[in-house]
Amino acid sequence: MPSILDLELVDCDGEPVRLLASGARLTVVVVTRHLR
Amino acid sequence: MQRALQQLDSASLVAVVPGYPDETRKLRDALGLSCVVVCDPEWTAHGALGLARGGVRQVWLSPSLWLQYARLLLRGRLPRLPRQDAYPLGGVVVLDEDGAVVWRHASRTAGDYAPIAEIVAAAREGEECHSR
Repeated sequence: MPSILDLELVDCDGEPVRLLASGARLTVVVVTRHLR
Repeated sequence: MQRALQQLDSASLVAVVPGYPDETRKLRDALGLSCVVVCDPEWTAHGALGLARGGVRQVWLSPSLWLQYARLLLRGRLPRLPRQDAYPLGGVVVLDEDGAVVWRHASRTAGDYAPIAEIVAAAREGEECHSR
């Protein structure tokens, strides 16, 4: 299981993005169940 | 939730959606989301964030899920069967800048959402802890 910091994800434009990329002190991550 | 979190200076919002970029972009635009929207079709973030996986009871027999379906029907939209793994449950996780979990709401059923006031309170408390 990858750690939160190592997750390789992409944004809506297909660009790589990390969950903590904003550099904010706190990041609120909402995981939705909007299924295909 | 976007609006509610704007009251906080040091918190950013990220939405993780279990879809591919094209469909996730459409969803983002339809909902008018201005936060970062991340695509996670294989549910990798879900596991790393320690969220739960439900069974038939938590996913398909959840009264709040059927309430949502009823709302969709009232708006003239037909719910459809998902084409992907439907058993991971959602949730909300507040992370600090090092990736440590400050607060987590792991949904117990498909329609179990954390109250926005609770999320904001958790983020505010996290902010205060960090400024001490």
